Amino acid sequence: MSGAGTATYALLALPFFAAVAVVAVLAGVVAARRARAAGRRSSAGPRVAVVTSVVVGVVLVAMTMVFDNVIVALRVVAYDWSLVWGAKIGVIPVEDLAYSVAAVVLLPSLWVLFDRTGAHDRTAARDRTGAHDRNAPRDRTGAHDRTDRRPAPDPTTPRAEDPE
Amino acid sequence: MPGVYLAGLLVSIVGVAVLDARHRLFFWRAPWRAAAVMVVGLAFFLVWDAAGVALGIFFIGQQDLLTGVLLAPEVPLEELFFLVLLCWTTMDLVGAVRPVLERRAARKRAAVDAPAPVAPGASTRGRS
Repeated sequence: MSGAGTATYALLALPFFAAVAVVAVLAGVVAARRARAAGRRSSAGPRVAVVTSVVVGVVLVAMTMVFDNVIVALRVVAYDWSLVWGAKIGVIPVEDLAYSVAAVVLLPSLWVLFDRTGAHDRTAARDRTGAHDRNAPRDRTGAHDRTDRRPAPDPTTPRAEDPE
Repeated sequence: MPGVYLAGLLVSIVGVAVLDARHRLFFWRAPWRAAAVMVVGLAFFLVWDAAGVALGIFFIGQQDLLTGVLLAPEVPLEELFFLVLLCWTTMDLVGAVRPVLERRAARKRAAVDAPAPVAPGASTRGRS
């Protein structure tokens, strides 16, 4: 490992990860409270949120490795290698991936926290009748309603299996 | 060639915007909510950038691909567009993946605790 340096760059991520963790916990609390207020079983909510971040994280980290290697190779960005721990993926320091990891947790959490349509839609009749169980247990935005009606926009999703 | 990196970023941003519009993933799902997420996300990552620059960890390399416009010392204009691309790509992916997982979870739940057909039409919509 050439030019192994200090952990400065790695340590820099810690306060930002801490801030992300706080926002994520807040979002989890708010989402659970909303689910309870709407009378929904809340068991699926956090699971879906976590799995979403993991799946998106894998894709985003892979994309970042490609993109970042290009811009570092083109010398758009340069590093003081004495401040970088030393592990590299191609020409990039692994610490660079911290941005992507933070993004997949922070941004969806903010998306939950900035949901201001919840109060309106939660009182909608369709939530009371259980009609929401059909497909989208948490569509609080009108836009989601519209997309929901389109027949299978996503080909990888098997449609309505028989309950039996 | 100065401006090449910015041009590449702009092309990429148009790409994620088209995907967003086509599939209603982020801005096309809830514009104001998306804008708020974007602004806070950009601020967060710019602070991170500023801290990294202040510590001397990273800086602009020797190239002729940037426009030369700086937001701050060692923070090129392009960094803002890069962060827009990062945040928008992330939320496009989230907007695409989450509904799939939600539908899957809802189906699983329906199969477990609702032996009767979940809703009229739901069971006939697929393979019939």
